[in-house]
Amino acid sequence: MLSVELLTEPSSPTPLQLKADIRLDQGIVGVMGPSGCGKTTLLRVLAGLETRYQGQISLSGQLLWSSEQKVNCKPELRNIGLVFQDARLFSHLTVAGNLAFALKRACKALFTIDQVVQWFGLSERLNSAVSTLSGGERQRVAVARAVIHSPTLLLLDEPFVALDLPNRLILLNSLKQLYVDTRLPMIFVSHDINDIRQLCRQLILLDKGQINQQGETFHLLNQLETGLTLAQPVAATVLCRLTEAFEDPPLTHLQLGNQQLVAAQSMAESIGADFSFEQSAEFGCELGAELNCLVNATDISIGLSPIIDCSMANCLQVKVDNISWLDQQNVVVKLGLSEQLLYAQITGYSLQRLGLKVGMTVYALFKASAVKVLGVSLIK
Amino acid sequence: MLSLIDQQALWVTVKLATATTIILLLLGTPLAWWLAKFNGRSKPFIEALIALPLILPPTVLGFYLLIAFSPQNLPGQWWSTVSAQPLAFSFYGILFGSVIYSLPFVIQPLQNAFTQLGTELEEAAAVLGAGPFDRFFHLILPLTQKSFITAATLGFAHTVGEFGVVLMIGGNIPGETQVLSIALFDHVEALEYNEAHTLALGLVVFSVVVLTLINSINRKGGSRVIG
Repeated sequence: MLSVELLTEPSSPTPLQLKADIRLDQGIVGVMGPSGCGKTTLLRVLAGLETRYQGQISLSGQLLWSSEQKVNCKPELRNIGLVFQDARLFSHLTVAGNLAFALKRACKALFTIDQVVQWFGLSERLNSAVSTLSGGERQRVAVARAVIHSPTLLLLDEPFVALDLPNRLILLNSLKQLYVDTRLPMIFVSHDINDIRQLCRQLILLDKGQINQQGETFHLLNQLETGLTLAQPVAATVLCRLTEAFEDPPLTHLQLGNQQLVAAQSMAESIGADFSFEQSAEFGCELGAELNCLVNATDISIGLSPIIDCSMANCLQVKVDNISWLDQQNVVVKLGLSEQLLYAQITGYSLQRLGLKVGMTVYALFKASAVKVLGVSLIK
Repeated sequence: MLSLIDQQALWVTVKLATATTIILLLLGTPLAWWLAKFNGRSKPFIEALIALPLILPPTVLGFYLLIAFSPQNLPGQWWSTVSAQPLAFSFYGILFGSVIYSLPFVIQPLQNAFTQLGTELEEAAAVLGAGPFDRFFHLILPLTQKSFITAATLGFAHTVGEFGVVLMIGGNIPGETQVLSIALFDHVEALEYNEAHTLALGLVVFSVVVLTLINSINRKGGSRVIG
């Protein structure tokens, strides 16, 4: 358990006023919010790099910092790892040298260089000079270096921010694998909903230095208000069970509750690797695996009866849970199915024409291409 | 071939420059570190004080140091009490003077290096369990080693070339305070041009070698610092 209580002082770099008890044993914790809301500063305070605040921090019952009691455990003694947005590798050392630097200073080494190299795919770069690494490799080395120090808590400050999509997927899957293998407590800061959806079970939403909302990622992100607050397109993430996957043509068959769903996307596209069921276990994607799937509200149409003889491959029976006006012309309809949620964005004209009311049973219609398989879920 | 007096002057010069460089590195490193991190209102004034020998005539500095080193004033008094020897006109007197006179040549390269390095890497090392000394010796020092070599070389070379301050504080005592530049001055005054040529040429060659060395060291790192 991580307990944080912070109050801004006149000299504080960013206003922060928050009080939170964060459970670290129930999956990766995400922190999201707009730029300048204090995400990075919060991590710096937790790591001990910033003390210009009032309040206190304790981790697993141990008081790390208290402005009142004049307690300040130095960053080097906290055993809290921090991966910065910029990799901050030591340029006078090789990749192996950077890893050895961290390993040598570990209080209790829990991982070997071999393990970490395997998680982050660095075996061919161990003897390389840091200056020869690509951006993605640099960030993987930075995370690997933080992990090999065997911290009790790992803080990740937007580690994907400067990465292109392939490198993003590689690091994302490395982090997933690391968490599955070690259950290392992590706090992951990002401004990207998709990254949070894939990695974090708990979510803290920060706004202007204060906790706006805190709770289960799955439920929090599926609240309409959240989508609007964060100025992201209204979308829902659903957990689906993998039933079949094809590469050519790319098609993934899924099960959502007791209903079938089809995504026009191969597993290779989803997890960023050459996927086949022979090697599926390696990626945690064997049949029956739970996958995160994203459907945008603008891609969903609503019908009063099932329509199967049309080009839209997905037709799910749902229940209208809520209707709210997005603007003067459009409404967002919250649709419930098997304890999960979808959103449909329709016009006010369609709402009237269909006579939609809360509690009605309707059908959500959308194309296979509207389903974006994000990857294996760590959420449940 | 150098005369016995010139050999003694060479030995005093090497001894003085080596001791000055070692003391300056030991004193200058924490001072440069503090200046790189400190952002108080008094920083420009402190930097100006350290840089003073760069623009002040050496005789001015030498004059005030000579007064300070006299047994009537506190520094000179204190030294006489501790060592039972006068500070003025002694090797230790010119050593003190050289340390002050060459201070900016060591401080400035180090301060620039520490400032350029920033705090980012230090923070990264701190969260990996490295304490302040560990960070300095295993991170800062290797990353700024070129600046240390530059600072040491400049400090050494500048001390070798000293004249005014040494003459004012130390006088011209062979084997004690007479350095090469003063020995050269003696030869010229005595119209011993052959001996003067030998010493002058030696100092010119030494200076060229030092500047070439510094520029070679800094060539990889970027622009030339001097010359």
